[in-house]
Amino acid sequence: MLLLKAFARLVELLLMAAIALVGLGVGLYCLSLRISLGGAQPDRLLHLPVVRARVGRFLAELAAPGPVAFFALLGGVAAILVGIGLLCGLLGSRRERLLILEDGTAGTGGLYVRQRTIARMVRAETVLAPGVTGVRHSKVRLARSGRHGRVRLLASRGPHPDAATVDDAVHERVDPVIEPLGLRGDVRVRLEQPEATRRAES
Amino acid sequence: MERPANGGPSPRIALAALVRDVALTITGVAALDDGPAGRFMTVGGGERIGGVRCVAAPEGGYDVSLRLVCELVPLRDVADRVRAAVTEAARTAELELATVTITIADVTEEGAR
Repeated sequence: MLLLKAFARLVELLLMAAIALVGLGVGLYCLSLRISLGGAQPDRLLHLPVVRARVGRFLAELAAPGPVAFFALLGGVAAILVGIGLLCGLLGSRRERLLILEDGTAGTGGLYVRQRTIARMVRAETVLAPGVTGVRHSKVRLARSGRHGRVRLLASRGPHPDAATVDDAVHERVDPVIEPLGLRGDVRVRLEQPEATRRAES
Repeated sequence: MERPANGGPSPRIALAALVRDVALTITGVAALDDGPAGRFMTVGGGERIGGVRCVAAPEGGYDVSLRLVCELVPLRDVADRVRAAVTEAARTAELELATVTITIADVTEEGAR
């Protein structure tokens, strides 16, 4: 995401410069219709007649079926994808999602925990519970206020020990992490299916 | 305008360095985090102190912010210990501290029980 943001900033800068230059050229061209700019001919400087000739030929080829139309379609799709990426880079939030434990109004300073950090803690604690074979899903959703939220955890277990024992073991490890943070937990433990069964089902 | 005392580091830099050193001695703190793109730091006097941001507070003293990488330990307890130790160290060093803001930026599994 960071690279995407940097790329978006660079493209934004280059596009702004290009648009400014073209705008200046067009402005001068328009101005030249009103007042004489002497030898300065902006449309000639920007090679507008050549561009018109080339684009006109391209548009004619584009209208007809053939390789040009195919590559133009590919180019169009690529441009849409690049555009979506740029929009994500520009509009994506750069703020970290933080759980607010203390907001600093007491005058001593705040205490915050990153959303991703909580998920990592929950995952790390879960795999230490006896009987757990892995964590399929560990996600933290914080409220807009950042003061409370919910942890969704899906762990998998082997056939032994039984479900209730593993469930208790997971709660024993996860609850001390999320309860002091004021988070609610949605913890589920499922029996891990052997690879052969999973293949047969799919 | 911060003034170095006797040619040494400015109070802001001295406080940031002190906070970093004290925080790293606390049990449960594994490291300090430089933040996204390594921009969370205090810079000045040719020094760069990552993971600590020290800015002058409007009412005097300095607002200190830390980004901690903790072990798998109760986070509130660690934060309380860091805040207490930093406040005490600043008082001992006669550096004026206004607030201590702590962000738990990451955890490491080294302290897994």
